[in-house]
Amino acid sequence: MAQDCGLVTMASSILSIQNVKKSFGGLDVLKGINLEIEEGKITGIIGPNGAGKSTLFDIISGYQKANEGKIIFEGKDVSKLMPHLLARQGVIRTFQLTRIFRNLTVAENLLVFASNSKNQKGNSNERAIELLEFVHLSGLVNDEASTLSYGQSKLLEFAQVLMHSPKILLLDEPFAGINPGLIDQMMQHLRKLQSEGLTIVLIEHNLPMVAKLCDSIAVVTNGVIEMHGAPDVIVNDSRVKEVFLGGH
Amino acid sequence: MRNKKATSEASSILTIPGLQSAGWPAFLGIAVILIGILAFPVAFDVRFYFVQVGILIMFYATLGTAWGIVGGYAGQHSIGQAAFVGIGAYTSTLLYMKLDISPWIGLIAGMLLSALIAAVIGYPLFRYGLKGDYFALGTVALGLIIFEITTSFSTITGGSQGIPLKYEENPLNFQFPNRTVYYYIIFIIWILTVFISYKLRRSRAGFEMLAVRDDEIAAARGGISVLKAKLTAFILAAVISAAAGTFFAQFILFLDPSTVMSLGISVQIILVAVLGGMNSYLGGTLGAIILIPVSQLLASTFTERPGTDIALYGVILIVLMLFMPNGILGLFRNSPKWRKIVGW
Repeated sequence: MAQDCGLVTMASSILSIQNVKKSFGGLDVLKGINLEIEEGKITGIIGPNGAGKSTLFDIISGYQKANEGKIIFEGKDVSKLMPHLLARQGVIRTFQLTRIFRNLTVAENLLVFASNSKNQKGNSNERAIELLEFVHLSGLVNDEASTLSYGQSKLLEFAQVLMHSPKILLLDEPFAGINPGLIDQMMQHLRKLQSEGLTIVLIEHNLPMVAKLCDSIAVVTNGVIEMHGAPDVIVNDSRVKEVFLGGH
Repeated sequence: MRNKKATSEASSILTIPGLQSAGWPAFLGIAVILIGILAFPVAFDVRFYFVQVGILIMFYATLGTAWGIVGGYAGQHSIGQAAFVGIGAYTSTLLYMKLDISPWIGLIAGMLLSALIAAVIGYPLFRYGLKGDYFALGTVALGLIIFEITTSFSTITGGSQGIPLKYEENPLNFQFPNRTVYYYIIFIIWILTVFISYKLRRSRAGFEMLAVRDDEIAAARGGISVLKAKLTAFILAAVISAAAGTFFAQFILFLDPSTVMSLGISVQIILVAVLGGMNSYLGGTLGAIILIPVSQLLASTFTERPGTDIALYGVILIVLMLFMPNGILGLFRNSPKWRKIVGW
């Protein structure tokens, strides 16, 4: 059972993860995850490597099916839905290893996503331009995506998922490989998106950054939610300090 | 801060690929080329042999362009594509020979049957995740199975002995006194195929195929049905191939499995598309313009030394692929303007 650390009662949960278990062969990666994601909030998920964070994202976004448990999104059981159907409902994610369309141009990488976004009809070009400017890639619109650096690819992926007008955004290590100046801008942009009603869940190893950005933090260790609470409580917990800050 | 110059530049660029990028010179050039192709058999006193070569070029250009949809756009390397050429050819021929049904109706029936078989075979292949080399091997098996079935059911199909088509000169029977008419029929089929490929490249369905080709997982994350994109490409290529198959049977007036559905024909279709550039709607056409005359020339030059032509053909292909792995049109991929024009 997760320890609640300084969280007020959940106002309205957009995503409910209920007793999710997942094993690969004899290895139990998730041993019964229970987590409520509050609508319009930014939730951070932290934990050591191999704790099951990305597997949890895979299950939420439909790329893997849980052995047990349910994923409830906006009150509906979406545990069995294929990834593209979940995406159409507004559950959009990024990956730890960046996934972009390498043989398409930077512009086309965004327009592909626009084609499936009901909210972007009619103004997808403007939206794409805005996003490319935001991630500082507007000078590379016609370049093939395969020519981008890792950091640029990461930014392109970030712009892609925003193109889709998600209801909930799952970001798997969004700041890895991004230069510090741009990280601040990305954090500001995430705050802005949050103020517009977007729910964000992110996996990140940089604890101070997570604490600065998130409204709540869930700690995953050994396939369970060890703690879930307010950032100031989580970062001051001795066990978290031990794992993430080397005990300091 | 909003960079107005960058915005203006970007907004002019965020357009889908197409010939409008090249402006009126492209349309003028295309018009001249098309008029030249149409005038070729009648304006010049050419031997029918050259008209036949023209027919073969357009036949393979059609098949190469169709293969480009499934192999280039959707990235599904179907190696048994000739099976669908055979399905189209045999459907129309058997309906004509056994039931006296016009090959024009047979053409439609062949296309429908091809679509059905592509859907029935393609659904489980794509649904249960047969990817890359495994999908390619699956389509080789499909081609061999259909080849063997056609050969085995000799009482219906004529088996390896083949079927000579009855000749009853009548446009309703797809048979014409002037054989140059076949040149214009395949011209129409080819143009329609290129047009479909061009429009597809600019459409949402085409974009989805390209996305699936590049990264299926990322495509699904964008709300794209990977299964639908692959299956649509597979069926579309099959339907076009079947139409070309009906045409070919009526043109040569003889049908046996080796003529229309051998593995060699499947390989030739792929070579045409790959050489031209399988990502482009023009790739199949360019590949056929180069490869078909070369193969014809080599075959006629080395008639007394069988096999030499195929060996030389192989060497030429290896050299081309070494220096142009993305095909000829792939050389344009780094030019923003040309990339749009060739639809890369």
